[in-house]
Amino acid sequence: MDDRIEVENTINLDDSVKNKKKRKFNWQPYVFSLPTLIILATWFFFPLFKNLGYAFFDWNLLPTTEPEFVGLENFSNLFNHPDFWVAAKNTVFYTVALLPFTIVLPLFISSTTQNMNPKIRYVYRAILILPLIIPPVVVSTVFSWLLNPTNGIVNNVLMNFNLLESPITFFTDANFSRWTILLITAWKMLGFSTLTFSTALSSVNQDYYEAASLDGASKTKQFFDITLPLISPTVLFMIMMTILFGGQWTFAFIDTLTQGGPYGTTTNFYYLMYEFAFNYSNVGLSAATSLVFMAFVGGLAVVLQFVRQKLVFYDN
Amino acid sequence: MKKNIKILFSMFIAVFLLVGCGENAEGTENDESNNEPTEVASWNENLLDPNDPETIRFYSYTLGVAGATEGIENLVQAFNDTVGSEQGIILEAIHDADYQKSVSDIQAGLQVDIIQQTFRGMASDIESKALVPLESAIPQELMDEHFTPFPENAMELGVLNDDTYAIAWTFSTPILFMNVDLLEEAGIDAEGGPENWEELYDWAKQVRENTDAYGFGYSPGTESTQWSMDSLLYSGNASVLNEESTEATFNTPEAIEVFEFMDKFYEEDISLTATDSEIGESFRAGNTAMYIQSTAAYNSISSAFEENGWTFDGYPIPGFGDQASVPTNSGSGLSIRQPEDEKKAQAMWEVIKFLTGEEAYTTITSEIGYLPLRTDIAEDPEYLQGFLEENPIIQRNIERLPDIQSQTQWPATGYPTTIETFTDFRQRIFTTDADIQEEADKAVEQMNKMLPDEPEF
Repeated sequence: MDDRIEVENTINLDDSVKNKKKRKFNWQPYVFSLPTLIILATWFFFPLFKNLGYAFFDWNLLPTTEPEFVGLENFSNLFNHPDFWVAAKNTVFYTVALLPFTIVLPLFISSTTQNMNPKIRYVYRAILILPLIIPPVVVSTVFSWLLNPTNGIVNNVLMNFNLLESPITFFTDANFSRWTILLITAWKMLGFSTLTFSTALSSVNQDYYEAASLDGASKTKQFFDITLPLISPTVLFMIMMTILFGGQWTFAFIDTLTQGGPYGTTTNFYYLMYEFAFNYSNVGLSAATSLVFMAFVGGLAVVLQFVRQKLVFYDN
Repeated sequence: MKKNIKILFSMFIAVFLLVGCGENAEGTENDESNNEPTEVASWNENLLDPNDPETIRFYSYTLGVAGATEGIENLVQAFNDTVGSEQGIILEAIHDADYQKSVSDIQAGLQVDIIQQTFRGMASDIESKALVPLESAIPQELMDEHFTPFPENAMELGVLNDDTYAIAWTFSTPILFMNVDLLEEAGIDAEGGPENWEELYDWAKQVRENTDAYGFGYSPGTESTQWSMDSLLYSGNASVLNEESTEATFNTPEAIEVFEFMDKFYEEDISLTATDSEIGESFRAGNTAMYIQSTAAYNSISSAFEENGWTFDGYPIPGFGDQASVPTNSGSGLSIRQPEDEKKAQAMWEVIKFLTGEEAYTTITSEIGYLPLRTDIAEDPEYLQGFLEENPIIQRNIERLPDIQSQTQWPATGYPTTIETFTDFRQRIFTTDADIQEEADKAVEQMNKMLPDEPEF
């Protein structure tokens, strides 16, 4: 009995020592996290929550005026705004129509050029990345010259080859304006997508292809059965980027080339938010738009996460 | 692990709250509304001191207009070299890109003193830019004395509810610029310009049939051409809004007649259905024979034509039939925000006085192309007499000044959705086969829901 008590006391003493060790607080990780937390709080979460609050107020952002609480009036005004549903439709259009240019075409280009001579590959990758690093306003200016109805090279070539009787007014003809914005955006993002896929392809283990070749698999079969599954994380990443940010990529071109016209046919949620805040000086309406859009995009992000878990394959 | 997460989360909330508390709440320290409007209607002494200069920030959209930038920069430099250095005022000019830089700077709490203000959205801008009547900051007698030579109808454009929110500054009336060589190539003698719109249409059609160029250029639906669209409608005895600006009126038979006439240019491919800047580029490149624009474009058109060895001319736009056209004004006025004190107000007044003085208008007219609202300097050999003799287009523009009517006064209620509705309507009827009367009725109905029930001014 005494031995057991002694053992229990020893055990209790050991636990006490352990607890003392546990209670010693390690402050270092928290201090090192502090700068990041401050940055996140200042530049991300604070503006986010502030913006959410503005959605229920009427305010023009002037320091000389007070925000006025209006409840859900901004949302009512938003859903009744003449451009809201057009913007919603265009946002979906830009997002879906960008996918071939950010997924299919880049995948094709990167897979067909993967086995290029390394030196030539570096050159073409540098050329491909150029559109991405040119500022959007410069891109807009260049395309406005290229697509000018009477002075632009595109119309001049088409008319010289008798493919057109009258020049196309790319930015004021509703049949062309949306597609023009889309194609300019696609041109700008093509290089980024291609390089991303090129990088993913470079990381695929070549042994799989050797084994498949020995088994007599064709290049096409190898692509669909080996390449695609192994780069599926990258493919889904680019799909997510396009769906979540595609509308945003078009903003600069809408603002500089069409201003949402003709008659609202090129506007989207991003441009609408900008217009409400800075042309209308209506922060509440802009915040309400961002809230609605955030809910929509947030839902999409959740769905995409679910899809990722089901479809993406990791080679480990 | 759970405890660590709780600690991290608590730290985050603490940091978040600290950041949140760091922001000035509206209505506190930096809020200008806490200061009562300065009573500066009468000044007892000159408070300006060259040893303690006052900085005035002047937001100008013309500063960013191709062909006009240098003119504004020269004006600012001339002020700083003369009045500025004598009186102790430093004038800074900022490009008010898309008329939004001033708004965003105001929202950011930056110093914004004088704004080159368009008349189109003035009622709305009074609130969004917190503009104040000039009479509240500058003694009336000083303004009366200085602005005596200005046309009365021009001075009234910046007045709302008996308060002057903008002093007329840069003006033009709609001018029909013509490529004389292209017209001659099509067999047209352009001397004197077309007599009326019907002749203009015939000339444009003749150019289109006999050359590769477009006969006429007028953007079907750009907000920047709203002022000249107003001129067209007034000339056809129509208007966008009624006098009180409480009701849309552009679906009347007279208005429809104007729209249907203009639609012929687009239907028959005589005019491009392009943006205003594209049409301007087309004209400067010799691909369009006639183009409506303000004389702010005079310098850039002149240099483009000179470089190519072409000849151009310009006349006030014609009327319909045997009626004279009704000119409206493009351009702007000078507006002010509340000065902090009397010294600032005096500095603002010195800037405004200079920008609307004889030397400034000589620069504005000769280097940019806007009209001299001090019409007396047009015949003064020390100022503009020589320039106007060599540039008759500007002289013809000046002669229209007494007949100017205000462009549509858009009420603050519903703006800018109201003007966007009208711009969208123009784009739709001129670029598609939509029925003009139907579209006008729809747009009028939509606009009437947004307009105020009672007159705002």
